[in-house]
Amino acid sequence: MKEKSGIGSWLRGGGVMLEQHKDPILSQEIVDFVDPERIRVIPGLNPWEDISQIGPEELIQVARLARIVDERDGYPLFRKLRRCMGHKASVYVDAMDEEPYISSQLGPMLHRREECISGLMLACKAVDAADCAILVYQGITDIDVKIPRTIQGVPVQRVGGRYPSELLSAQSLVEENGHVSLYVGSCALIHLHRAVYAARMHSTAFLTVAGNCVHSPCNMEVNVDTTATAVLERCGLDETPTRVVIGGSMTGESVAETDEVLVRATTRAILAIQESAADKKLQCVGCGRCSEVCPIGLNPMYLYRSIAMSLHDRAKALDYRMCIGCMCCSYVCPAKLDIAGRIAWYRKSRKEARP
Amino acid sequence: MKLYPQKAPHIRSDTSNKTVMGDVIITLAALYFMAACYYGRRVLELGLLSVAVCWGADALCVWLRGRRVTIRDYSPVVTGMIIPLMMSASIPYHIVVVADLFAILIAKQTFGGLGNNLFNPAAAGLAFAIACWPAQMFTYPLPNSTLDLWGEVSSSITSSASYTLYVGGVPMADYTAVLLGQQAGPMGTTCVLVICACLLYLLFRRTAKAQQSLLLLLTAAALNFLFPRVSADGLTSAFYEVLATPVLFCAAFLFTDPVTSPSRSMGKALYGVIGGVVLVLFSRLGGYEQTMVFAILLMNALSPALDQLAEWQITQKRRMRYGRKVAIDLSGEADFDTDDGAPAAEAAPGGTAV
Repeated sequence: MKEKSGIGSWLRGGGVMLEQHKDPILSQEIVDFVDPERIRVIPGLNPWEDISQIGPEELIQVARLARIVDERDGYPLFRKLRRCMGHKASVYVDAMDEEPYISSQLGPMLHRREECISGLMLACKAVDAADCAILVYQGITDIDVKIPRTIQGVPVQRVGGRYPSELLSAQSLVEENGHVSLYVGSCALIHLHRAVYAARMHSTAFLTVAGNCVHSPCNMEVNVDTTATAVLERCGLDETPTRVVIGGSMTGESVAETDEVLVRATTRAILAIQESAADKKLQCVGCGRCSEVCPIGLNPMYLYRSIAMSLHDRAKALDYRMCIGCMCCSYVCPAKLDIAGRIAWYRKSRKEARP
Repeated sequence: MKLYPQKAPHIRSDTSNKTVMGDVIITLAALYFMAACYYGRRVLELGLLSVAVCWGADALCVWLRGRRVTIRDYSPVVTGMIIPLMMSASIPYHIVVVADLFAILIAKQTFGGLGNNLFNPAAAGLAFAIACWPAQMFTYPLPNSTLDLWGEVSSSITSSASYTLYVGGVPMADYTAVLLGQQAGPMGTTCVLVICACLLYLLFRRTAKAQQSLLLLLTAAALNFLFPRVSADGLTSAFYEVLATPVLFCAAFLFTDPVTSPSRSMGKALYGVIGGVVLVLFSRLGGYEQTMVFAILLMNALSPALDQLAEWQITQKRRMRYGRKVAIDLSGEADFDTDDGAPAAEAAPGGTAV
């Protein structure tokens, strides 16, 4: 994976500039792999025809009945909306997709824009929002499709620029200087629109299927509980992959058996990758690249060494708990060490050890 | 489809220890080429011998420690290439061998090998050679003189610009001669323009850090400009002190060693500035005409303290910055029942979006 480098990268701190590889997937229409018989409707609910008749509480109730889960964070959408009521919050649509290959939020936002914006308006109505905007990743430059400055009057803000901008704003409901900001995934808003106008439950997911083994990479809408094998077969495999990843190429989870992995409401990508050779671990030379790219400003090298030597006080002083698991340190490490994995393991083990 | 689960990240940067060391080797090879043009084949013989001794000594230590000897570790090759370049082209072979062995056996492997050494091995080996054989280390053949491959070198021997500056004189070589390397000196350190190109390449490839090398050079130049030790104007003094001596070479190759320098940008910047001050003080107060390697060794010892200072400062900044935002808790409220009765966030894979 080529990392963009040069003089400019010295001047900015934290994060890495990743090649996005979003085309041709983003330019193509979303592939429909939905079995209509498996689409569920909200029992006993009739679709609204006149939106002016529906109030905030009813909207939240619909989101609850439709069991909409935000793909951004895995939280129920109704809960996020309810917590935001009465705060005059700003509502932001998360269509960032900053990890390479993935465009399962940006794609639906562009290709299902009417549903997405309608869902956004419903969410704004539910929380009595002060303003709203769509967030897209600034670092996407290698795509043919044009991202407009406004979509149906909603401003599109380009944020970040260096991975991990999305993870840095991982909290979905943030209060800063008395102002509340709510972040909602674009797919959750599409499902909110469908729940209100078609009484549909959240029974499908938008995901990106990509990787160097996939014959026809695409963004796809698929029924929840479809197996990863079925999804990969739909797109076709040129070669047998050495790893299948559920989620992003930076933070996703590699699976052991694709038949046992089911698509969930929050699944954003399935990547089938074949590597030429496994990376061999080498000795850390203390180059400091990991601390340069850490978006939080941690020193992963020191943390790695402290954990290896069981220096608990030292690891605590180095703020191991602040690690957001973005994997930037492991990505850039020239010694190919599993730095972020070690920190995550340590964090988990310390949490379990606490009484 | 059955697979072997692997850890994230599932993509990695192209940069590896091999490419980092490879960058340095490429630039050092360019300097060997220039040195061979000025002094003939003897330079290459010295380089090959030095690399062979360093690699052999390193492999022996790795084997004695019960680890697998690997050819992927290029660090002894870099050490082996640097040491002769900081020496006279007429240096006897045994001095190179002893400097190599000191560098690998004492300065590197005693501390635990690659990544654990406190002092730069090449600088330590050179300091040892200077302390033991100052006469041979500080006498140089004239450029463009072909040297004998074996035995005592019979061509004319002279002193370097470093010595002239050390005794308070102004070097005879004009600016052009200095830039083109047409002056006597350590065989790899006189080709100023080539070294500048090498430094730029290393900076662009991010193998060397600008904060270290450029701040070292700027500090040394500024101090020599303000307080010249020779009877010349500040500009002349700064030019000769930085470019006619091995300071530029050391700033590009020895001072930027990642193992022995701070890891934080702020630490690196302090390291560069303090290194420049120490270098100038050593050149004024030291007992040898070349004191750069001693300044580097002292700075290596200060490196952990500078890193701690930078770490403390960044920790304060980090806690201030990320303490301002308050995440509103989204868990704990009664929500819609899932099929198994668990909250939706837990029913989703991993609890969070993946």
